[in-house]
Amino acid sequence: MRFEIDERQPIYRQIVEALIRQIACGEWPPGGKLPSIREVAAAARVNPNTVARAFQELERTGLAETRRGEGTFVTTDTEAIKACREKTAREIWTDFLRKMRELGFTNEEVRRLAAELKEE
Amino acid sequence: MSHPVVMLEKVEKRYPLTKALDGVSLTIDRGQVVGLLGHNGSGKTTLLKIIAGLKNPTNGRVRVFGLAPGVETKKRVAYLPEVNTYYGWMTVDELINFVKAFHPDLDLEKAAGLKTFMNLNGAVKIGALSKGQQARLKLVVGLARQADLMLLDEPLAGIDPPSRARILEALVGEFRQEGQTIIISTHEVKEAEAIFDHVVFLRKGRIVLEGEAETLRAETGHSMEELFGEVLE
Repeated sequence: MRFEIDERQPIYRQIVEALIRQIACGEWPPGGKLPSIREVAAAARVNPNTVARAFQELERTGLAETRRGEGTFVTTDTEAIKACREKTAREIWTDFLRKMRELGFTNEEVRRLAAELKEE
Repeated sequence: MSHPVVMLEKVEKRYPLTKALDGVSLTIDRGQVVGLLGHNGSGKTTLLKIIAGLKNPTNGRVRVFGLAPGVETKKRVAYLPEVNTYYGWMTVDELINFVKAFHPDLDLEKAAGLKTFMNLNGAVKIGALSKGQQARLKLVVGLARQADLMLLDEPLAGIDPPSRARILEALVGEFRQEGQTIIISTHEVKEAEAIFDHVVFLRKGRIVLEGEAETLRAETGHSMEELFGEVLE
C-alpha cells in the first residue's frame, strides 16, 4: 500500500484518486475489504480525519461501501469497476491528446506516431 | 461537553525585555491535530506552557475544557517538553512505572505496545539511549496516558529521520486515543504537515495565519511548508 502525496494539493483528494486507481486495476478485488482508516493513515502518515474524508468520497462514487463495525469493502459490481477503469483511461487519453495538440500534432500525426512507436 | 478543548482570548505574555505573546486568540476543537508552526523564539513554547497551566499569561483569558488551567485541567493534559527531563540512571521500564505513579491514567499495556512499536528495550538505562531513542521514549510515555489533550513541543527537532517517521506514524496510527486532541509545535513542517487538521502560524508572538490545512492547500495551491516560508519570512 503506497501513496505518493503532493502536499500542495488537498491530500484527501489524492487518497481518493489513488484508491480508485488501485480498485480499477484490481489491487483491491471486487467484494474485498479495503484497509482501515487507521492503516491507510499510518501507511501514508496522514491525519485519520483526512483519510476518513477520502473514504466518504470513495463511497459517493459507488466503488466502495462501509458496513458498520466491519470496515469498508470494494463493490461487487464488476460493471461499475469496469466503467471506472474505462473512465480513468478516457481521462488519461483526453489529457494526452490535449498535450499533443499543444505541441501542434494533428490526430493523423498522433496515429502515425503511435504506429511508429509500437514498432520499437 | 460543547466546550472547545482550548480557547484563548487576546493572550499576552510579557517578560521584562520582550513580549513572548502579543494578543493571541485561538479556538481548538476536540479531536483535532493542530500544528503550531513558527521559528525559534516565535512564542510556541510559551503558548504551550500557558495551555498546560505551567505559565500564567500577563493579560487575556485562557480556557482548557472550559476551565481556567489548574489542577483539574492538568489531570487531562499531557505536556511533553522539548528538553529531556528524565533521569539518566532510570531504565526505560522504571521510568514508565515512575510516570505511572504521578499519572494514574497511564495505561501500562499500551505503554508495552508502544515500547515495542518504538523499538525500545525496557532494561536499558535512559542515559545510554541515543537522542532519537529518547525522543521515541517521550512519545511512549505521552501516548500511553489517556489524556484528552496532548501538547508536544518540538517532538521532531534534531533527531534521526527513522525516529521521526516512527513518531509521526504513532501519532496518526493505532496508538492515538479516539477523540484525543493534539497540539504539536514544530519548525520542521515538511514531514509533519500531512498529519495536521489545522495549522497556526506564529510570528513574533502573533498569529499571522491559521486555518484547516486542506482548505489552505485548495485555496493557495501551496503546501504548509511553502506557506511557512511565505508568511514567516
